[in-house]
Amino acid sequence: MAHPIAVLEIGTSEVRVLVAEPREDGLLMITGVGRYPSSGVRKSEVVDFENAKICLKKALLEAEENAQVSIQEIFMVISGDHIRQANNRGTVNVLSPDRIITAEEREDVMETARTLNLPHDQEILHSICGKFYIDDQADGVLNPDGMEGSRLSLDMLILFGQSNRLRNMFRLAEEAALEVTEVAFAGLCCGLSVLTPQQKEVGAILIDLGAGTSDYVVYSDKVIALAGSLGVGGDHVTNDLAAGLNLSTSQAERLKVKYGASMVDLSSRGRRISIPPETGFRAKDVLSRDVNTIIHARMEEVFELIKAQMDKDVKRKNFGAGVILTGGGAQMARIQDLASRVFQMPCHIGYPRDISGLALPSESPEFASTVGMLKYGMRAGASSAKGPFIGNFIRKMFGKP
Amino acid sequence: MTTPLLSESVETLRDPLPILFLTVGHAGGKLIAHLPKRVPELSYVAVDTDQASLAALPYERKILLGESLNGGLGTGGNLELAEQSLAESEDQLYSLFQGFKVVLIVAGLGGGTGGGLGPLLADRAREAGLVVLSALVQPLEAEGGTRRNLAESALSAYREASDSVMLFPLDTLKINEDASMLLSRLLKRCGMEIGRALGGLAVLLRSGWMIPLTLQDVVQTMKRADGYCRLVAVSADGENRVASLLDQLFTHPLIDNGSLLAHSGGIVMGILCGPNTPVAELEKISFEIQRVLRSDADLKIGVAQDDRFGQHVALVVMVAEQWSAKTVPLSVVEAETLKEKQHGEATEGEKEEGYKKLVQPEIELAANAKSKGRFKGIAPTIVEGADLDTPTFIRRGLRLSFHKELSS
Repeated sequence: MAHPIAVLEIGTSEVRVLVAEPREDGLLMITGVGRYPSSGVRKSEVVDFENAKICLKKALLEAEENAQVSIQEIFMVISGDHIRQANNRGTVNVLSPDRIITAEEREDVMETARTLNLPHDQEILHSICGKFYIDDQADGVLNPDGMEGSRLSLDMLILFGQSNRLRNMFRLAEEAALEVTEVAFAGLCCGLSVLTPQQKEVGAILIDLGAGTSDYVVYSDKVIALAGSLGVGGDHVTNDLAAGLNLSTSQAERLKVKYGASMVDLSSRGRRISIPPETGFRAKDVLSRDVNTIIHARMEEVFELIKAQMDKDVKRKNFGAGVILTGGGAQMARIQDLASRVFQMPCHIGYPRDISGLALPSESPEFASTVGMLKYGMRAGASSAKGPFIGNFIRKMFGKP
Repeated sequence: MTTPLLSESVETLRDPLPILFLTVGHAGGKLIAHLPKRVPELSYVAVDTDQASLAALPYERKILLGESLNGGLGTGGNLELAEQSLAESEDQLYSLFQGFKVVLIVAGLGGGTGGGLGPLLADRAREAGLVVLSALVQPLEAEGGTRRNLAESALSAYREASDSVMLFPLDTLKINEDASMLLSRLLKRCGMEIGRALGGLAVLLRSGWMIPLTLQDVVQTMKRADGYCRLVAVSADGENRVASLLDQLFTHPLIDNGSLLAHSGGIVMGILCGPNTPVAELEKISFEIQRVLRSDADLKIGVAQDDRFGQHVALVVMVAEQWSAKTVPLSVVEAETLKEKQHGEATEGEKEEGYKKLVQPEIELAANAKSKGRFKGIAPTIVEGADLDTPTFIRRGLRLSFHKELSS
């Protein structure tokens, strides 16, 4: 049997560890889940190392007990609004006398497009191939091999992030005696986890609504046209409710989860919600309309900002599959209606696909990123037990051979 | 008790505004086929490229386009064919718009005629000097990606060519709890809602106003919303007519159970009633609706009275779906105009200051509530100069309702 793969996500609301075994039919069987409420993490970044470490160890222990394995190596999901994207076009001349483009030219142009001068405190996380362009053709192709031309260009989408913030995550894993095998951006992981090849082909906007950040990946014209992270998430909704209604953070969080909706529903316009007392905060009644007005304003802004970025950076806007939401925020009442309204297209909740075993991860959009990372790990042909696959990024960060 | 907004008793109205109802394609024609019977004083013309479909429609005037190109068999979703069909019949169309001031185009978005030919007709109507209002039916989500992409392109084209676009998404009219709902029932429901809303709008625009609401009020308010709006009409009579009217409005599926109304930045509302309707009732309708709107919403209200409405009260509401720019409070515009008259044009700084003064008290009130909370002391999320860690409702100056603290 194949070696198990373990994935870690140090999220703003929760630390999650998933363990899975690749099955012979190519699917994954989840054998262990470890979860522990996060402390010391804000906007997907570590702000209190010691507290975050304790949470990680608790989640790890639960997953190990659950899966009956000892985890030493791990694939890590990362996010944070320091993660940025750049589109880089590389061009090479086709040197062969018959001007037929070969795999060699294709590799060359990929290498050229991948070369991006970044400030010394930034590291490239992913370089994602877009379309190839031959000479001055306006329409790109996905594979130029065998075509004729004198010049070959390629648009490469490059994701990069701040080295020190990423290192903090790795150090945390090291403190828990874990070796990070590979990292991947949460948004891309969600895409792997919930989207079908058909959805990617017809175009889709995937938004992972986390507690600390909202990560997005836009598939258009058969390629990934945009990816990024906005440092606003469910934590902001909680904070807005606490500020607007004069509640404690925990009162606001409970209110959000139990009664919150992204749209104001006038059929229950006079409805009051009773908030029980808490140390330092009195009991009170709040209007359902106020709660939802606050949530609506925040979530609408999140969608509007992503849409504005998309309008600016995505040239061909074909999104036949509409908007797909994942993450804990996707469970909020009427979030689909709001997204649908802002983007003016249908919206669905994305659930992890093609997994078996423990039920929880396949039933919740919260697990989209971790399940996606499991698939990424499986695709990399790696296992967390032996012979780790060391990616370029990890090699650069830690100087591994 | 509630009754349909429009009945056969509605006859010629005072100072009528010549309105042409133009249905384009199969869906457009079929959806409001019942309307000529209910509002016979309006003019109806059906345009299609499918002869059989056109023949089944009850309208007085029907125009078949592109017969020599497709043999009267429709376009099959081919936009190019739709365009060629129009070019073939330019002369016929020129006379179509003569004598009218407003054209209300009704079409489905997923087909070649409604989606392809309709925007071109809207363009011709605009060229002929008419105000163009387009009522468009969005296909069901289940109809698939290709049709949806076609519908999106058609919608963009309509937006370009129309003064206002009214959307009727079929999906909103499904009854979710009724799994056995038939497609025929859904389409009938859609037709009834469109007929009721468009008929209501037409009647209102042609009525004698007690509190005026002009066609330009409608057009300008909707223009600021980037052309998108939802249109609903509700009516009621009897003792509890106001409560019934409001309940119908606030739970109307086309405005998403009232959500769109609550979040909209622009609303046009026409009240149609009999001569014996007390002012208190009209006030109640107006205040109840204002109470649920955004504090910065641009609301235009008109009241029209008609003897034939007797005890009935009807409401026609246009709800803007999306704003292209921030709403500037009218008082700022007035202040600027006054200042310009007295001292020349106000500087950008002065305008900004005026706006700040208006929204400042609310912002200060909420900002006192330790707004940054848990994000204090960590790197802020700044996008285009805005600190996103500060609550959105504060930055947008949204007003919250009063909430009452209870003693523990």
